[in-house]
Amino acid sequence: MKKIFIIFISVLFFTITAKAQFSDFVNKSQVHGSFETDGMYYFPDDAMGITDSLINGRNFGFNAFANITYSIGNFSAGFRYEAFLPPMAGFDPRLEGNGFPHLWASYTMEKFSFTVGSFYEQFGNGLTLRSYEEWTLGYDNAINGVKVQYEPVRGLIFKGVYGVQRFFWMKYSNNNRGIVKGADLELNLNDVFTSMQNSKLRLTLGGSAVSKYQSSDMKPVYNLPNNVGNFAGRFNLGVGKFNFSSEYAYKINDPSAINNYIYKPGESFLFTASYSRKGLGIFAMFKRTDNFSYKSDLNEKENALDINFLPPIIEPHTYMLASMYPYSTQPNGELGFQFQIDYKIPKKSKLGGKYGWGIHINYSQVNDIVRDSVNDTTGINQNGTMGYTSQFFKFSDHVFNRDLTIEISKKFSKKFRGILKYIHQDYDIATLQGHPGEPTIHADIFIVDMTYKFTSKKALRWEAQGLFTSEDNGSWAAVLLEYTISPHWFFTVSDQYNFGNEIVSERLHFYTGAFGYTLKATRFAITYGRQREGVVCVGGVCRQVPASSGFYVTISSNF
Amino acid sequence: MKILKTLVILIALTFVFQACDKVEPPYINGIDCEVGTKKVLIEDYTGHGCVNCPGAAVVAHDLQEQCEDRIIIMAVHAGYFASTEAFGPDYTYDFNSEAGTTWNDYYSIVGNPKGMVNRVDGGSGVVTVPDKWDKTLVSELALTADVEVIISNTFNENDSTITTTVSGAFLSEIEGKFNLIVCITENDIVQPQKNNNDEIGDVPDDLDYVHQHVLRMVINDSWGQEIASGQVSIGQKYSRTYTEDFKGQDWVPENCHIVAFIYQDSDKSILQVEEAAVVE
Repeated sequence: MKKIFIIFISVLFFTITAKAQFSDFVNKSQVHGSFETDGMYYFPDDAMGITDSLINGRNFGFNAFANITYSIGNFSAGFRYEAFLPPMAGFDPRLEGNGFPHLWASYTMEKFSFTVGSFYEQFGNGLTLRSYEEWTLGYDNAINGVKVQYEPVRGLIFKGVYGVQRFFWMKYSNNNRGIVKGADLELNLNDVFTSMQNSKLRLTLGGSAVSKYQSSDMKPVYNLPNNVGNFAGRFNLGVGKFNFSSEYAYKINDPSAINNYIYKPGESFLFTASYSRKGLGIFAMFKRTDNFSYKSDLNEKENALDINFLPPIIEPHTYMLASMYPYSTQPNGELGFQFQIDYKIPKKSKLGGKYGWGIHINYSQVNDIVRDSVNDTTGINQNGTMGYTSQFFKFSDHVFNRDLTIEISKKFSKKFRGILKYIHQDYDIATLQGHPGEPTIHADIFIVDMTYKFTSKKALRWEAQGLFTSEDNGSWAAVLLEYTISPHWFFTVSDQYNFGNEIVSERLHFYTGAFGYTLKATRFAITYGRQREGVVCVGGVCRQVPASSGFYVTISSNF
Repeated sequence: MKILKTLVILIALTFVFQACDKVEPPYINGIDCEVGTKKVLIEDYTGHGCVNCPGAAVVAHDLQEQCEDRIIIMAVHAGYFASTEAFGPDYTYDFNSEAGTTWNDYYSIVGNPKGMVNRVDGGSGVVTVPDKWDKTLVSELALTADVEVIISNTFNENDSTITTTVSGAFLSEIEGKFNLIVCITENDIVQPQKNNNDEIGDVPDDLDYVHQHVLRMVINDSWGQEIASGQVSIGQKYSRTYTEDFKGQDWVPENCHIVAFIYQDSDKSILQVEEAAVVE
């Protein structure tokens, strides 16, 4: 009897302890995630040249992902699921498929952390390394491997990465892409040295080194390097209201399909200066890129396997017509600058009136670099040679893109506010969109964007836009009406009309109607209408969007 | 722990800084044409509406120039970019062939230019972009042929018929099912081609583009005819004769070639290929 009692007590004790531990485990555990599904159902549209035979039975596209992250204490782990069944029109067909492209686990201590599996990382501005994911482009160059981070003292951060990049659904094997390894060291002097903690001068120094390994038998015709290194140094200096930052990167011989297998070293340089005080912001940027595509597969020409990232220098636009001619970064060479001023005319001043005005002016220009032949017998950019020589600060006459944006924003009353915008663009469509032989587009764009608030929750916004050009498809007009009932509903109708098209039968209306519902972190929207052919760019990385007509459904959520 | 962390940093830095290979000239190795006995077929899947395809044709041509006797090119026009309706009134000439479309569909070729080298997987799939052709090509050239292919052509000018006899013997013991495909290709066809490379021709439309190695037809069915199966011994012979009529076609016999190849049915990989002019 005594024995049974002891066993009973023991079992009870362990059960209670285990239950308490389990309860503690559950209470400390956290699960977070995000989810999005986008579906498109395509209709034939004779006017747009979309026939049944072109659709060829593939009258739907489906892109979806979910990220799930579990964490407890210092430990976290997660996975990503994706489905492209099939990918929506305009996405790389190599995305087709479904599965779990990313699995990862991470442990973080006070000064040290490590991650195994898939991860994203950026060194400095990304000139040597940036792995990231951009859903709207179908772009993902995550690294699968090991990442460590060590901060021995506050302000001194070391990062190291080693792995292979994601290449759609292709598993790494047989040298089908390179191995990426890199290290970055950043020193924030104001944090490291106590004497500088309250200084008006803020200085951060950094340096990174990245190398890719891909066996040279990938392309036996050439004498290829197995290892290609890319090195960069950077600083960020703040003095009062001024801030200066710069990064210079140098890459050794990296013959590839992108640069036509030339052996010239590459370089990239960024410099930004800014001044900021209440009501006034001034920003200037200079950028030079020379032979600086850096991919982990030398044969890859499309948007995949980029190890580094070249920040764009042209003002990004989001309005319908203003984004018709977006700039795509030219990794083989570009030389550009940008200047921007933002000024707020104070409210209750003579000029500003009751609510003040906002003025935004941005001018940016990107030219090609100048290339000279290396000798009398070698063609410029001839494969299997040093390619060319180039003077660092010499602008070519070939302008890729020029953009002048002037924006005025004004609040007229408590209920009524608006934005007026003028943009002039010169756009080398032959180079930037791969339309050989087509002349540079000179476009003037006018935008009016007005919002009227009926109540604190109900608002009507309307846009009227005009793009005037005699090149490409000629001039366009666009209107948009958007009615919002916060925080749940929105209803939108819009139309883009290509009234200036020289071919009368192609003067089409690209109309859409949409509505959506948002509940906390979940959003649901349906759009019906036409999508014009074009290009979508995010950060200078672009994908072609074919013309389409149909229903588009999107659901997204975070938890 | 501190030592461990320092070690991790040192190892990482060592990996990075020792990972730089500066290459000295000459930068081009070329292709060793003396090694091996196998010949190579480059199938260039193309279309007159594809702006990047003239560049791919140059890639194939440059490779062929290095080993002219051992590299054979066939330009297969198929798929969307070979459409006679999608690219306007200049692009109505029909380069499509039944076999080309069958192969294009079988290999699920989406987008041009794409191609195959002896229909084998050189590490990046059977169908690859032009920049990956040379790797497979070099490894195929280094192999010893399992079978020989000998073409004998007689063109009868009176009735415009070609009679071709393809024969040979197996050179190694091999097991499987082996088929022979006999094609007609044509050079020097002047027809419009979309193009984005002004070093090759006019952009964006090269109306006088000279198309080379165009697959016109397969004489003996898209997947050919069986010549041997089971355990094949060294010296086992085969011979097939076909006659094809040129009447009613706009093909120029003097510009045409017979391309014959034998492939293994199980994985469709090509064992050997040969080419001979229609009019000797």
